[in-house]
Parts: sequence; structure tokens; C-alpha cells
Amino acid sequence: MLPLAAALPALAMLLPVLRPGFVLRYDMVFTPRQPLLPESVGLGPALPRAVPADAVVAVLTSVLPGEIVQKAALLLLVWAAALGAARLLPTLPTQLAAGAAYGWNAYVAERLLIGHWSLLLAYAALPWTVAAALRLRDRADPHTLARLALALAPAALVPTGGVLSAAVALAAAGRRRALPTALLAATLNAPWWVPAVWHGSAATSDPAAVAAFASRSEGPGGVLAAVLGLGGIWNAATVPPGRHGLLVPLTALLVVAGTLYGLRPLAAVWGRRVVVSLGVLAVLGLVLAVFSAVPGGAGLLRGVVDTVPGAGLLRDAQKWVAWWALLAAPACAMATTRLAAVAPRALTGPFAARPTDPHPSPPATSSPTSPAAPASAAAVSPASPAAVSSASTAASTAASTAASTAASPISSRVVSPPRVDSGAGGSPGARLVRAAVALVAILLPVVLLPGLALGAGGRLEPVRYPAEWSTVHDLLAADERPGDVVVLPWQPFRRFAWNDDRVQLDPAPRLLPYGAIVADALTVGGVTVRGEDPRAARAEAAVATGDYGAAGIGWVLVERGTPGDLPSLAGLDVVHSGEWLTLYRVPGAVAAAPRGGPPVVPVIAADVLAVLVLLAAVAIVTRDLLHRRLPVGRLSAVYGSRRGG
Amino acid sequence: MTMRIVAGIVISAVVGVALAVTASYALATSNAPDREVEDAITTGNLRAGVVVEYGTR
Repeated sequence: MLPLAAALPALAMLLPVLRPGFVLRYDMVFTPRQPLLPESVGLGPALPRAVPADAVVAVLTSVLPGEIVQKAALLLLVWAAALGAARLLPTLPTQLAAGAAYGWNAYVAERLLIGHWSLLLAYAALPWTVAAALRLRDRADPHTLARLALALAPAALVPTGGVLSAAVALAAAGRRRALPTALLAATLNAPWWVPAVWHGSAATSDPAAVAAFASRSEGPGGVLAAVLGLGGIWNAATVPPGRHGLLVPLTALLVVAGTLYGLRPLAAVWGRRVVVSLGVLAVLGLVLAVFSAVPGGAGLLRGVVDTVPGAGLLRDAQKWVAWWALLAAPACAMATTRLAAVAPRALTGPFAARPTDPHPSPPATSSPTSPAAPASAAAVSPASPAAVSSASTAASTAASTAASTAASPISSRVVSPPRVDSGAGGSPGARLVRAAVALVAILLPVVLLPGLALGAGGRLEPVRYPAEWSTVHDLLAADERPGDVVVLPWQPFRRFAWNDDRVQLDPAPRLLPYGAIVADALTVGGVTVRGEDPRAARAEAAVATGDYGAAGIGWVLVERGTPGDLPSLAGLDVVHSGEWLTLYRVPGAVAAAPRGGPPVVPVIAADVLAVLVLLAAVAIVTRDLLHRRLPVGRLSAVYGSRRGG
Repeated sequence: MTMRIVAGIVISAVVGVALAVTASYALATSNAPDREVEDAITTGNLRAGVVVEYGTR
């Protein structure tokens, strides 16, 4: 039921994406077959910003067409986000509401429209990380560690995702499990942080990036209202249609009110300490997101980004709002349980029978198997219909507890499900009101952000690469002469006419068989943020002087149908000339270009270690699943329970 | 009892209207031209001498 329900927002959002072709927008560049290059694993001279995401995509596109990989990734991330959030809560209405709120919001929309699919994959993995960390919090063994490893892995594809998920895992697992959690997260994230460490002081960023990528106001209420409502991305062109005006502060108000109102019942499900830990993380995310907007904040952040290696992660500050979304979505969903209990009383006036407390105090500790747990406490399985139906009648849940503990992320945690007013709940009117509250909660995210539907109003539209790209690819692959390819016009972003003039990152480095160098200085609102790749700096000098061979450049690729000036290319040999591309061969000798970058051994060792840990986790979880599904596992479970009983 | 039923009907009606408005809006905007395409058309199809910005604030 839940997996099917979670597919609804994914399909409503991404249906147009299923058409043949590639969605090419801003940073989202997929190609038919991405080459596996040294840069893909962090061995290039540039900072490992898309490591190991590029390597994973390269491996996947070596066995599957790139467009299938892209469609699968986009659908998977929305589906997994909604399903992961839903599985964290106990009853069907709250599950659906949490899934809708977490899978359909401004954060997802804006990051989708700017093409940050790998960040959204990390975002989708956060609820699963919470679930796995809650299991680990209760019991530390290879099985719970393996589940946590699988939850952390998708987020480790990019640095920001790795940090987001590692912090969530630490917060949810608690202090007692901090060491194994930290070690696991460090190992899985080693493919990007090991090469990053080798860059040392060169891993600092241009301080101009702080102002360029600071969170942005989207309506009345300024930056704070924008980020509280899960939006506030720096780029005005990636705000979904319809998100402006009073809707921005209204969304913020609803999210904040819903979160505050739902914290108490959420604490009854997750445990108070877990909610407090994730609450601290959520506040930290909000502070980071608005920090550059407060007086003095931007100056301080500029200094940090300019001097502290790796602090460039803080420059696109709105990314950290993911922590706020992780708390806000389930809390808002749980708020409906309180509303459902209060609404019938409010509608029928003060003379209605006094119900039981609709929001009992949560357990003070998260020790779920404590013998001191109250008799009415129950482990609730979000995946179990039996447990779902029993959530509103606490007395009957004890029987379903044992049966439901196996499949649920929170199943082994004793929780006191928020009781619904049993006095008013029996009448058809009250049931109708409760159903209406649940329906509103489920539909509200879509009502507040309708512009995300159908590929954000046509903004996520697949296009096909011109066939010339494969011609150029084959020409380069067939020539064994050394030398990099420099790509012109000398700027990193394109507006190809064949892509309806959408802004997109240059696809050449992910399409050509080797060494395509593109500009990496970013222009935002007339301000240029300097690049970090020494190869690009060298190529820029060669473009200015025309001395390509001495800079180790053997080819010049000119992309046409996109804005940008071209230098004189006289003296170069034309190898291919078409409507969209012209390939020039640099005559004469080509010097060997200095490679730079971190040493191979530690980087590859980090990759191998991460892959081995991941494979071990897959083996353990697969074995657990098979043991549970196959007759031998079921028989042993029955035998074990009889012997134990 | 009657009040609860009336309240339920009223809330359902509000939700229904909201749904209808949302669906209409989504349908209307789904055929809207892309903002960037629109910009390119209104400002002329600029092809040279222009820096493609990563974004605007």
C-alpha cells in the first residue's frame, strides 16, 4: 500500500520526464554513456565536488543507457523520500501526510529544478537513515550496522549529502552508538573526503560565492520565511511556478505551526531524545541557511570560506534546510493526530464528553524494551495494517506488537501512539471530521505548491542530444594522440537551442571519451565566482594566447547554438564541422599536460574500502531478508518462538 | 450529531474546492512556456557575446 502511495507524488511530479531523452537543466547532466575518468574518483586536480557520483553514474551507464539511469534516479529519489518519511510514523493517515509533505515541497522542487539530483538522493535517504539509526540505537550488531550502511550509501555520493546524512545518523543513533556510526559514515564517505584532504589549502573557495549562493527571499517575510517554508534557494530561475507572494509566509507559518504542534506526538513515536537531537539539527540547518542574511553573518562566512579548507560546503547554505524538512514533515503529519482529536470537540462545543488525553507524554528514555514500559505502550509497525488499525486503540496493541516488530524501522521501539478521542471518535460525524483533517493534511503540500506538478509546468522536459555528439566522440576515441580537449565558448554553462535555451552545464566532460576541459568560473547576477581547477586556468591562458599545444591541449571543440564569444581559431585543422559542433585538431607537437591531483594509492584504497563495506552490508541485509522470506527462516522463527514461549 | 455531519460536509466541500482550484492551476501552468525560453524570445535569440549565467538572484 505505502510503496504504491509513494509512487503517486513521483509520477505526478515526473510523468513528463518519462518521455525519451535527457532532462538537461543547470547542474543535471546525464549522457548516453559517461566515461570513467580519473576525475570521476577524485584523482583530478579539481576539488571532488561530484565524487563518487560521477564514478557511479559512469559504471551504471556502462551497462544501462544513460537516459534510463537518469529517469530511474529521479523517480527513485522522490518515491524513496515519500516512502521513507511515511515509514517513520505509525498510522496510515500520518504516514500518507508525512510522505506527501517530505516528497512534495519547495526544497525538492528547487533542488530538482537546479539539477541537484545527487543532493536529493541524499535527502531521500535521510528518513531511511533515521530508521536505521533508531534500530542501531536499540541494538548494535552487524545486522543493524548493515542497514545503516545501506541508508548512508546513497547520500555519500556527494560531499554535502554525506555530511547531511552522517549528522542525521549520529543524532538519531545517540551518544552510545556514536563511535560505530561515525566510523561507518567516515568509511562510506572516504571516496570524497580522502581526495579532498590531499588538496589541503587549495580546498578553499572564492568568498564571493557566499553572497552569490546565499539563501534568497521568495516573498514577504524575507529569507527566514522562505527557508522555514523549505524554500529559499539562491537562484530565482529555479523557484517553481506559483511560489511567490503571500503563499511563501503562509507556507512557513503552516510548517512552523504544524511542526511545533506535532513535536509532542512525534516524541511519543520516536522517543524524546531522538526528537530533541533531530530538532537541534533542524535548527542548525535553519541557522546555516539564514546566517549570511543576518548582520555580520556574511562577513564571517566569507572569512571562513576563504581560509578554512572544505568550508565551501557552507556557501550554498539552503542545502542544510534538509535537516529542517526531516523534522518538519513527520511532525506536521503527527500534528494531525492532535487536530483529529481536538476538532470534533471544538465543533461540538464544550459540552461534549471529556476524552482521554490525546497526546500522552512521551517516554523519557528511548529504551524501548524496558520492563518498566507502560502496559499500554505498543510497538507500532507502520508497515503492518494490523498495527495501523490498532494504533488508535492502545489497549489492543500489545497483541500486535510481537507480530509487527520485524518489518518496521521503528518497530522495536516502544511508543505510545497518540490516542484519538474515543468518546467522540465513535460517531460518524467525528469520523468524518477526522477523515477530513487527514485528507487536508495529505493534500496540503500539493495545494501549497501546485507548480511542481507535471515536471514543474514543463520545465523538466527531456531532449535528445544531436547525433553529432556521438560523431565527435568516435573521432576522439579513434585518435590515440595525447592531449586534452578544450571546449569553447569559454564558459561553463550553455543555452543550447536544441535544449530550448535552458541553462545547462556543459555536457562535454561527461560525454567525450577523455579529458574535456571547460571553464569553471561561475557567473551569478553579474558577479563572477572564480574557479578552482588549475587545468581550467591553464586552458584559459591557452585560449587567450592560442598556444594550445604547449598547454597539453590536442583538440578544440566549439559548441554552436549557444551564446558566447569565440577566439580566433586560425591555424587549427578542422576535423568535423556540423550544425552544432566543430572539432579542431591542434597541429604540431602537443606537450604532456601536468596532471596534478592527489596520489592514487590512498584514493583508490578509500574507494575499495567503501565498496567492500557496502558489499558486506548488502550481503548481510540480503541474507536477513532471504532468511525471513524463505521457509527455512520462517520455520526456525516459529521453532524459536515456541521454544522461547 | 447534526452539527458534526454539517461540519464534515463543510470541510469536505472546502477540500473539494481547493482540489479543483489546484488541479485547474496545475493544468493551466503545465502548458506555460519555460521562463528561460520566454526570456530568449522576448530579448531576441542571443547567440554571441553573452555570458550564460549560472543563475540570477
